[in-house]
Amino acid sequence: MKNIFRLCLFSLLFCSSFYYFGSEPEQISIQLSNPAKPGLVSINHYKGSIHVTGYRGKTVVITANYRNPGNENGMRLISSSAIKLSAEEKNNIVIVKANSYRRTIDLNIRVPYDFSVKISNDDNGEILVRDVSGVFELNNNNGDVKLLNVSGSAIISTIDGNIIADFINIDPEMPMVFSTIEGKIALTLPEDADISLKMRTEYGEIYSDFNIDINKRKTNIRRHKSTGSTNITLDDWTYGKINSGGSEFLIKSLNGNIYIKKKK
Amino acid sequence: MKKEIIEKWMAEFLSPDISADDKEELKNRLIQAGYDKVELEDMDKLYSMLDEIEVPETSSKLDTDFYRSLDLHKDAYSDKSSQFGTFINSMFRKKYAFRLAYSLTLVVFGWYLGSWSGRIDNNNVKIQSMSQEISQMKQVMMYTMLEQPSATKRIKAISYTDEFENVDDKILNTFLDTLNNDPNPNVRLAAVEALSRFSDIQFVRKGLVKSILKQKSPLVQVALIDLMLKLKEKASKKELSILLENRELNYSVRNKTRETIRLL
Repeated sequence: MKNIFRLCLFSLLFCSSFYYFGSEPEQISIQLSNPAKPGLVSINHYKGSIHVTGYRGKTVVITANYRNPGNENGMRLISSSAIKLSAEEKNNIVIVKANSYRRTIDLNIRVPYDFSVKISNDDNGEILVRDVSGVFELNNNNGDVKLLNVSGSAIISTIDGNIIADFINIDPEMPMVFSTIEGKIALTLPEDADISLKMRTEYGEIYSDFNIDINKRKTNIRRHKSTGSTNITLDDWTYGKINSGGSEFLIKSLNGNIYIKKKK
Repeated sequence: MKKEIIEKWMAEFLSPDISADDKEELKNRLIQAGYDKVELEDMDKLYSMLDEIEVPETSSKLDTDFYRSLDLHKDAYSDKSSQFGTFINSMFRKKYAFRLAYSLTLVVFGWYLGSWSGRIDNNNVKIQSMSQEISQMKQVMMYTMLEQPSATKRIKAISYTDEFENVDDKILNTFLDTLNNDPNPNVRLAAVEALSRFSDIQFVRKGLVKSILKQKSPLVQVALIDLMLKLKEKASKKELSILLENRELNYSVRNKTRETIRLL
């Protein structure tokens, strides 16, 4: 009883804070042209976190919040410009726009389970995509990128952030790329996935609990049509096969570790 | 007078069964034909005397001896002839059958071999032409896929080069274009990896060096700097020095660039 009371009080305070600070969340609900088919949500964001979650629904629901502004030089925020959130849909492709150049805007997006996500973000937040199946193209320069309970394929890059990806299933046909400069890369993959790995971290280490068939230095021999010349190079990459091998995963960090984990 | 008729008259004249009148007439005819009368009478006497000579009875022993020897002779002959005959026959048959079997086998084997090797040749030719077609199709597909809005598909397109036996300048130029202009840093990264295999070709190497200053993403910058070090490309020192002048250069990239210039 005491707990429920606390929860009520907390939520009351939480809600009223929005009211007082005049930053009510913006929400848009978008109908899809063909709800039976998979869709794509595409966002070019500047500052903020973006969470995309799969749900049992047919519409795309976008909620935008200014990041809790708090106080500035001892003064409360009493009024702010409205969030300019817009979204347009065409052939199941939803393009979301929010004016996050000046102020950090966090986005919460709910999408049907079969949905692809394409996000590019620069600063001040993480990208989290969970409970969806599709193709994920995520780029977050200064924050983490996380995939949770997803199926499909991913192309992820970050500079300062970590990449954490937890796959339920992978699309065996599609290559994937995970690259970062400063961060670590932690992939959790289904035990029976057939994957060819191409990994490199300059100042980090590579760990795995898979039985990876490692081929440290692979000799590349290529022939050119017009010159007929043959090029042989020794690689700094670590090549490996999980199970019988398959689509190539290119995993690259400069300073971070690489973890390839079995999904338990 | 014909000789045969005279001989016939003579035989009749000498025969004991003839009448005296006939004998006299035949005697006259023979005298007319030129035989001497005395001679004819002598001959007649001799013949009548011959009839009177007693012919001894053949003993039974002689019979048995004769027939035994005849049988023996017959047996010997028949044995010999049959053995030899069957031998010849069998030889002939065996040889024939052998020949027949041999030629049949040869025909069958030849046909089989012919069809088999023909099949192999056909298959080889088919496989060769098919793989060529597939390669051509993949090239066409690659160009189409490089135009796709999906970064995953563009990376897939680049990964097709692993399967091409030969690449031409057109493909390499397309990749250089992708390296400099693709909006997704991971696609550009994949382009660096693909192009690094052809870095012995002059225009590719120059294109890679030039690209250093065109890159905004630290991920691609690092990949190119790594490559310059691996190729020991001293010509890239100028570009790397200019890169260092960029104030916004990522800290890690800056360190790496300095290090690379030193090593070159």
